[in-house]
Amino acid sequence: MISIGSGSRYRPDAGRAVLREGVDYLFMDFMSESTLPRAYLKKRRGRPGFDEKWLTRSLEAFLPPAERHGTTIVTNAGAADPRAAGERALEIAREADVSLDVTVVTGDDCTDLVRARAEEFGVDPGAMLSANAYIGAEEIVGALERPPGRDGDGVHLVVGGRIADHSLIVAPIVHEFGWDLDQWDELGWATAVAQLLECDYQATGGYFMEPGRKPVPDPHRLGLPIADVHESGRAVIRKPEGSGGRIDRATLREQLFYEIHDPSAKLTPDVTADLTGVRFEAVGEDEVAVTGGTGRERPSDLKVLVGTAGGFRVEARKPYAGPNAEGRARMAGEIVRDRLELVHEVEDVEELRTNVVGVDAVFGSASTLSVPFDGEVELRVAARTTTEETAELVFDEVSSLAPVGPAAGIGNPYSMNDSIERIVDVDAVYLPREAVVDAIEHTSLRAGATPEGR
Amino acid sequence: MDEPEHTDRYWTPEEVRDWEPKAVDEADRLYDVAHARAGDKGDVSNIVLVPFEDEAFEDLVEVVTVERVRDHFDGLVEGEIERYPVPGTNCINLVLRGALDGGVASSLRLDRYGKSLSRHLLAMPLEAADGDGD
Repeated sequence: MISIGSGSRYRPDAGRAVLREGVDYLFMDFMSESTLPRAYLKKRRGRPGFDEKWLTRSLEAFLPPAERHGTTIVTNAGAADPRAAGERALEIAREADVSLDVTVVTGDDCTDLVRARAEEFGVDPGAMLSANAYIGAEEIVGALERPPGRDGDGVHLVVGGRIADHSLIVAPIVHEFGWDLDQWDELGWATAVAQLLECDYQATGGYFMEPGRKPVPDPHRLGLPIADVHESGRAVIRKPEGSGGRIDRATLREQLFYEIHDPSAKLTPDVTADLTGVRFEAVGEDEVAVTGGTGRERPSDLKVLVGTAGGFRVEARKPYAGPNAEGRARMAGEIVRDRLELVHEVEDVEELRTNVVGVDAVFGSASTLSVPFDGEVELRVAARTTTEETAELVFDEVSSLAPVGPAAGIGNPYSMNDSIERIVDVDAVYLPREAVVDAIEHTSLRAGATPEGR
Repeated sequence: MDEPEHTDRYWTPEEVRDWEPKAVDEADRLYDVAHARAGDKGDVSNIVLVPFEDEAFEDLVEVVTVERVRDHFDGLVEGEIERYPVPGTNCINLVLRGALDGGVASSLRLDRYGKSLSRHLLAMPLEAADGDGD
């Protein structure tokens, strides 16, 4: 049996509680679809190509308890620069006086491969920020081997870039049980376990709780999930002793299908997983046994996320309250639209949307809501523009409505900095597996030693 | 900080005992009988609908048809809708294509990730507007 726990970057106190349970592995998933292109954009501007703030906060909290139990930490927090993230981890370990070995996994960056086929993929090579393949258990399982002479001693951190979320959990299972990479049913079941864990708090009451009907005990100190994984194809999902939160069929059923399309064909780099046979059985308070996921052959191509730089998005607000609040908000929106078109005659507003928060800002034309005549609402103006100047103009037109617009406009609660964002478009393309995996490398880093390649 | 006190400020065992979902034939809308979670990938949203009581599953498969969902999401979803009932866990997974205003990256919606689309589903009446719900 091996235990694998979640090390969410949010609320590091909860990750510490997982490590105090003495887990064998801790995974830290730092990725969303837009994480990588934004990280490459930062790197290009001379800033760290990984999330330095949260990696630092997490490792400062996690390394000391991980050292006590000889835990291996597996993460994709390296983002656009896994090597730099690994070196930062060594600095943190030195400051904390923790013995740490780092194995860096590189090679998910497929920029050159995608650039060579840019036309075929419909990618503008000039605007391309990043192209990263989702790499799987096969690409990291070798990196989980402890460096010679360090078996069970200190912390081992395996850090890469676009390691697929599920594979952060599947790889340790494959490694520990010595499975072959074509044991599809086993890999499918392990992927089902990973599906339940990979979004951290979403298994224990996060993204779930609702007053009255969906109670979650002590939501201010939610526990993170841990899986006790048995080679026989049974895993028990639990959380640290004494932590808040809830693990039962209700929380796990919501998470089993999170971001899933066809439940019989969840594609990962490792397997085509079939989640339809998954069964839950309560085996204790906040302890659920998971059995029954299966699998078929993995996809022959690897999914590659390509990030390209687009224009700008701006969002600005103007609250109104009291008699005829909605009427005044709608009028303010029309004034902004007319100012941009008729007075400024700007031509690079790709789309401008004016909505009223409280009425139709979320559900749009599907909304049937109305607010009281004496309500509290916000005008919300959102636009996509080609240039940053026009985005700033939209923001200024909304902000300046107070003295020149409808009666009793309240100040825009947000600053311009928070309100304008570079659009990064993310599209998927597919590359043959062999073309990608040839470039995968494992590099060992150790404090004070010269790095040695695989 | 590590071991905060337990509090029942957020819920009490009595509250949990006293709340129960409605039976499908007494309920007005999905919110009365089920819970749901939305996830996003590109311009696709998926919503899993989970009945509070397993007995409600077959009824929900009857009620929550692709056509009903398409009507209910008119104006929010541009593309195809697929439905996957999963009897083993008694859940219904709905896949809504073109549901995220082009995708998180460029969407102008307040809810770019479509988190609230699950709540919009829960607001769906159990009976169709023309009274031909079953």
